[in-house]
Amino acid sequence: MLLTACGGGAERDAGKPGGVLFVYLEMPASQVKKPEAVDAVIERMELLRRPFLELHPSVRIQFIPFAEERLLRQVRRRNWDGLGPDLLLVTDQTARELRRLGLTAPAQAPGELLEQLDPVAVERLREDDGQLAGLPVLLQTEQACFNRSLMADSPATLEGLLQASAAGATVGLNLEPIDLAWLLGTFAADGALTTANQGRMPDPQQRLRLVEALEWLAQANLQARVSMFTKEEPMLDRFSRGELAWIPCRSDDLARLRRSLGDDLGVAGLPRGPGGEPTPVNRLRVWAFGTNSSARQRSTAERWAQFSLTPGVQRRLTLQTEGNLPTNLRLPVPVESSAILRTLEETRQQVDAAEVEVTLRLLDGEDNRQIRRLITDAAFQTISPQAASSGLLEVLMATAGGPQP
Amino acid sequence: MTALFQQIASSIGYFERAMVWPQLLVVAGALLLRVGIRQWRGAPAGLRRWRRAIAIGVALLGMLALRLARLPHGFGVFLLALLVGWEALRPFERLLARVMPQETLGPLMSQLIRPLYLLGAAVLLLDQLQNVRDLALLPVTLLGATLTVGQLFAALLLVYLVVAASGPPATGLAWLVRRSLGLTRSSQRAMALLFRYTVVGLGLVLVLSNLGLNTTALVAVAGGLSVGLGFGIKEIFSNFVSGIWLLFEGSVRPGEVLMVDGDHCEVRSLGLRAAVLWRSRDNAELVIPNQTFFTESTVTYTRTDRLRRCALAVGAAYRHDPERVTRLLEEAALGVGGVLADPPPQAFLVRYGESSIDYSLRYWIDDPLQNLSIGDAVGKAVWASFKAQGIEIPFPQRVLHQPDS
Repeated sequence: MLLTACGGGAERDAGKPGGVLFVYLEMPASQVKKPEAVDAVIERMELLRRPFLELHPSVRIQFIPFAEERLLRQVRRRNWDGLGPDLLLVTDQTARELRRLGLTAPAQAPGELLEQLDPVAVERLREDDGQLAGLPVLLQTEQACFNRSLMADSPATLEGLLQASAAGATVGLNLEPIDLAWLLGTFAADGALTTANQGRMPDPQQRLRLVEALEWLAQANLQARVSMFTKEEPMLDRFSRGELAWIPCRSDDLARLRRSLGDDLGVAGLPRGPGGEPTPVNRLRVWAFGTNSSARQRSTAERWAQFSLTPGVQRRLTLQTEGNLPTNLRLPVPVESSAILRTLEETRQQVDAAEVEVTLRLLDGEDNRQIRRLITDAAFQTISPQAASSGLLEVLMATAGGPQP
Repeated sequence: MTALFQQIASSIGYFERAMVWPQLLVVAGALLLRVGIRQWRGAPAGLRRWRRAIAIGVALLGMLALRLARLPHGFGVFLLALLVGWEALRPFERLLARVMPQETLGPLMSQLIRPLYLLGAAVLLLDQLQNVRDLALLPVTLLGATLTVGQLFAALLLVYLVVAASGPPATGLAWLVRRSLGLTRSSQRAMALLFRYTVVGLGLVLVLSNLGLNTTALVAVAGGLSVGLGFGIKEIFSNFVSGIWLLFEGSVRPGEVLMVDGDHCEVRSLGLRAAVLWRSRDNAELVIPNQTFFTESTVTYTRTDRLRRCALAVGAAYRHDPERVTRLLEEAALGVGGVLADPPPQAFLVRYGESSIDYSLRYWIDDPLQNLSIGDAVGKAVWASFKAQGIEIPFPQRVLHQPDS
């Protein structure tokens, strides 16, 4: 009877939004410890929460941030408790992993809404059985950030970048594999990875391009004013303090950087190289749905998620944050109103055009640790670029199921 | 702070989930069962004795049933673990009682171990419902400084630990110093108290400096306190300063024996405001403000040593040789346990009275609090000795003459 009294009320009101929603936010470990970084994320989420609460004042939305490496463990434990999340804002990769482990429920949305969403993003979340691991809500791109007080303009080529460094501009490069993926395209080395990912040994020409990319990294590290970082956070800190003139940056960091640098913050596309255009990897932010929710919580979560995907909300979010691109393509990105948004949109189109993005995302996979060590060793010349290149290809071929003829 | 309470309060949203209630009911049922057995007057002794184990067993069976039904049960297991931990404190206390005196164990359990257990349990419970690491980052403004909830909690915990747990280490250190320098026991206790005050003082300074509170605000608070000292809390402050002074002076230290209103009292403790004295006559504890000892004269038997000289007045008939009587008195006193042989007992002829020669037997004891019982034993020994030697203890006699007419 008690069960009926306590749980039944919520079931009865299942159709009407209300109650408390527990929303987990996945954040990088280095940021989750910083109150200002957490505030920046919550501030962005407020743009989605506030208008929804104005429509449904009986709803309360509770944000709970977690470091990305703790998230899976926490969701598993809390689901076991019956105290799991109703909704999670995670990367597309985490959303797929959560579904694979059975820790989240498939996402549902009206077909009409799904048709409005970026098809590339939706496909990225499509599972083998056709269900969705989540609903894409934001797209975050990677581009170049520069300090206008230290550098007039962002270099358009890798050569120009090293020249600017030789002329006195300090450059930062993050050695995290996924953040360095853009460099592969500039040497046309992405083909080697695609081939290796298919379980085949790349031809000598492809291997040579990968070696060249790693050689450039090692050469850059020899420059006095180029600093290599193994984590993104220290690089962002130094850039915020005006100690670095140029870094590759993610669009979700722009709000923080703008707060520190103000109008000195410049945003531009990443530089080209001798092999072509850069191949950055974009990140999707995705709504994933918990398994412990009551019927009312699930219904409210779905309503809020769908509300956040409507063209009006997406447009407002894009304009106000200037660091996130909409996944709803019904309304075009207002590139005329912001140079930053224009840069982000160009990056998105650049990435959508690159076929290798799926392969490059492997760099963020389970073998990340091994790949990271090889890249770091090559950058600091602990091993030769040739050896690092062979190691990288071996790891990727092993992931694909071993070398094939 | 409001944000903290709001976040904690939002945990009520979990009760909307039907899967949370069976877990709570199983744990609550086990608790009720335990209470029921205790309250049941006709319960068999065995049942009453094993009521805790029975309740835990029933709860475990309930959890097993939830598991078999594939329902979430982690929260129930967690609550059960907290209850088992609380129950385990009893055998733990019994174990400690074998190696620790009750007067040490009692405060240790009630002031340190149990409160710390409850605090730890509360934090763990909060972490089940929310993310404690995130809550710890919430900002709190205190005296013009912005702190995080985590910093404030750590500071309060440190203050509590310093105040509640500094006793045993301070006592240990004082014991070491006494062993090394050959101090008296009361000096050891005084030193322990001084060490404790020092640790508390340093702890508070450490906490304040770590919190980075605004020094101007602290000065303002100190100014306010000064005004307060002038009015309301003058007595408290005066007693505190008197206590510190008395400790340094060494006249009223724990273990000292003082005369208060004609009674022997032992100083049990010297607190911030008052000293607690034990009166052996009726086993009463006297709480006397420190200021009293500071402003009034005090009789002590333990200032430089613990010896006390006692006296017994007795009369013997005129026919007995005084040399023989004094020797008998001294021999009788020497035979009593607690009377010191050095300085030896001495008997003196003090007066030729109306019906007897009056003697005074003076002897030394080394425990002033035993004055009454040793005095009683000496008196009885003198009577027995006089009786055995035929010494008469005369008493005044009055002869009434009736006129013939």
